[in-house]
Amino acid sequence: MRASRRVRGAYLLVLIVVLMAATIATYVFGRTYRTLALQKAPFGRLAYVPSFDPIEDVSLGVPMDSGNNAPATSTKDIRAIEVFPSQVVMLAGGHAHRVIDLKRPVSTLHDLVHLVNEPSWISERSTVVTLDAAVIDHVGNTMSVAAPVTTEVVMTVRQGVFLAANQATLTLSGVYFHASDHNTPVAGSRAAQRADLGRPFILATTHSTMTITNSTFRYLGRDWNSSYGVAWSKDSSGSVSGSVFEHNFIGIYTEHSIGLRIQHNRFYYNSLYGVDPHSGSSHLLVEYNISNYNGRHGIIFSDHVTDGIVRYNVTKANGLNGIMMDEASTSNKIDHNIVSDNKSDGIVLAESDNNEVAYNTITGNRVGVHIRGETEPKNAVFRNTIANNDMAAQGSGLSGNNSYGNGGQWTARRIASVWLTALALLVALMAITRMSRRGRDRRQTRSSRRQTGLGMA
Amino acid sequence: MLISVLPWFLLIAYFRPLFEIIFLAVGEWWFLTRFEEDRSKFNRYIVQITTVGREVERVNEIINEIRSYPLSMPYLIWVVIEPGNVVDYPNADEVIVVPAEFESVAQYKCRALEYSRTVRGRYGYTGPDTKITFLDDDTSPTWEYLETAFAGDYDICQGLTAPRVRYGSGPFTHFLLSHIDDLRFHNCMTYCSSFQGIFNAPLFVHGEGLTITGYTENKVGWNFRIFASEDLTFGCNAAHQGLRWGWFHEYIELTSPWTWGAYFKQRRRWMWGNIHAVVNRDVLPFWPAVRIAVRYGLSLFTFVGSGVALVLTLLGKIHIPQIWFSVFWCSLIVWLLNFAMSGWVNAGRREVNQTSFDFWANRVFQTVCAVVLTPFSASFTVVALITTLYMGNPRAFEVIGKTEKTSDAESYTADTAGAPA
Repeated sequence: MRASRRVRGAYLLVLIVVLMAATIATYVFGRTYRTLALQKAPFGRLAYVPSFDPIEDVSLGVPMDSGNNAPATSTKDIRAIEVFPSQVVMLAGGHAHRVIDLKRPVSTLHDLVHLVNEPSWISERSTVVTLDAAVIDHVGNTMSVAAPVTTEVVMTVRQGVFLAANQATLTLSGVYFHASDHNTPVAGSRAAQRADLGRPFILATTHSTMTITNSTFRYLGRDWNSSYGVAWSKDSSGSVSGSVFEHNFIGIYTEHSIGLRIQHNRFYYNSLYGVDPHSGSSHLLVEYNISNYNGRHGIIFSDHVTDGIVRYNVTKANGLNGIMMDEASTSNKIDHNIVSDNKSDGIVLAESDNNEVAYNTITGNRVGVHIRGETEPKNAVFRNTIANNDMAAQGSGLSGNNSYGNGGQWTARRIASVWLTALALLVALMAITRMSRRGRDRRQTRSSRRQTGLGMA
Repeated sequence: MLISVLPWFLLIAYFRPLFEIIFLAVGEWWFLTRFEEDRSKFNRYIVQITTVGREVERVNEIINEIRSYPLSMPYLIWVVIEPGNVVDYPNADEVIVVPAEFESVAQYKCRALEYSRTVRGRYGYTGPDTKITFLDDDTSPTWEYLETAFAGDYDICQGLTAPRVRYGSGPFTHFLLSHIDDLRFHNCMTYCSSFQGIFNAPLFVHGEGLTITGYTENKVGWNFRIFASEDLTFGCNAAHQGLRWGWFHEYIELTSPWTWGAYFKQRRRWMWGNIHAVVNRDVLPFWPAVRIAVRYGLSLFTFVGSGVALVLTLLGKIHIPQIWFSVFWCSLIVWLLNFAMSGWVNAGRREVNQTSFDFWANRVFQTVCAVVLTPFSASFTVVALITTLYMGNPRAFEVIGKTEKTSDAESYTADTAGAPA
């Protein structure tokens, strides 16, 4: 009886093993997988170095990469025009070059050119202003740079040239701002960083308000503290709309900015990101923008950027992800965006919880929705259309979303192949089992006969 | 190069359940189709229970259990004990007390086994027609086990250990320790079946239910310079000397430890017994020693490798193609299935007076518990490995209580077995 049980057991085992192998093979090989190797960052980036604020640098006349780790001596080549409500101070190498007392505040860049009247510092031809020094709109002052008075601002590529508001109000309207050369800022090496040392930028810092409308920004910014392109930092706010950001290091950067509105802008071919709210910024409104062909991400919220809204944007063909929430960027709503053909993933939530991802159209990316490092409260991903990505989702369920045509789809032909192979394998193994048992039985019979014969002898 | 290969090296740890299920299936298939039996070759069967002598009640229970079986062959039950203990085993055929003056290189249990070998030598039970099955004082063989062990046409063979005696019962410590032993069943089912049954190169050998011929015992002997791991030493040396190993799927039922202290003492004895065997060439030959060492290395690698890989994957430091993710999911499910099987089999012993409903309800409950406790059971085995290494070499055969009652007493060292000669 035990013998017959074993016979049945052997065939049953073969059947179970083949069924199990076929099930595993169906799960693994029964679906399509387009290449899902990680799209690596197009270039490396140097580690962040704590450094002086750029306004401190020009006020002291020290190189633009100075910090406690890299003490520097001042040089007269680094110059700043500091505009206060009651006076204008011109500094060279940290020392006063001129002080101009004002009867009334300077409110436009055009007025400043004529007031200073030193073309080697700031000059104007027709409606084009050229900056050869930093212009800092200081404490309580209000300045505007606007068409038709000023239509273009050329910012010379040399150390210490930028436009900034420090506890002030700055309005930019209908103006084309660009560096004096046509080089796109780069990153990835110390040499590149040094080469970009003089690349100009625009900054609103320390409770300033900067409002930008219908302007264009090109070839600005570099990989350094607050110098990334056009930036709002230290509780500054304002808005930017109808503007174009191209070939900058980062299109828009914010740090500890609250309530900034970024609407109806275009971000193309920026080295790193199109829109990069960072470090404790909150309640941002990012809507109706197009952020395409940037080196890394189209839009990225990183490092505790919370309570923002990202909606009705288009992010396409960026070097990495379309839209990303990174490093505890929580409680943001990402909806009604079109995220397509990005080299890495569509919408990525990395170590960021409680975000709502809904009503987006996510197509042609590596992974449609990618969530990693999630804890409670969970992100909500629903009512999105996720189509034709290499894979629909990773780290996220797909229920409540419309998902089709992504990789990882079941393929009837493959499944059929798997099960036909399994059938053939089953027949082969059954035959081998039968042969093996018969061989064993023959051996045992021979051995028994020999033993019996010996016993009789 | 190293950076790109390292993640895969770590991730291979995840594949282990898939490798194991293959070993398990092939080992089982081998038994079902190729395990050879020939009862006509054997005339004599000795079932030997080797005990220090302090589990009299449990040993008598085992003897009575065996006596209740309708065994088809003539057999003798021998009880081998250390001196100074009661010899009250009414249903045993022989009670052999190892004399204090008996001298051997082996110590403790191995010394007792060596002494019983000399007794068999005196009786002339040293030929291939004698079969001997060794039991511990915590093991119950099933009727099928004894029948198959006797009939197995091998120089040395053994079946499947399963912690089925009071498996998963209270107190809570015993419940947990029973499930930690799920891995023991799994290892036996996977590695004993294949490495003993197919490759003739044992990776694990358990003394419970080890069955050998008189010829095998006489040829290999028990006189090794060891204080523990006599089963592994004997089994590896037998294979090394060209003797034929067999493995069969019948259960030798044992008891998991009852206290944490007992658990660690038992594992410490095994661990250091094995280390002693691995590092001494007069105990284990070179290749068997390498095999055992690699086994430990692989266990550690699986734990560390999969742990590190998991963390790196969650941190987004390791990115792998989706197809491999699918394989890993399958591997994980197979791993859980393995533990489910352990729970199901281990809970398969019907206790006296247990109703049918209680039996099946408990079986399902223990199976679910085995699956739920999988991460705990698997990682605790590695914790025990590291802890017992830290505890150091006991240099003695520490015996633990085998029943709930005797486990209340302190475990003790079998020092009555004498110092090495």
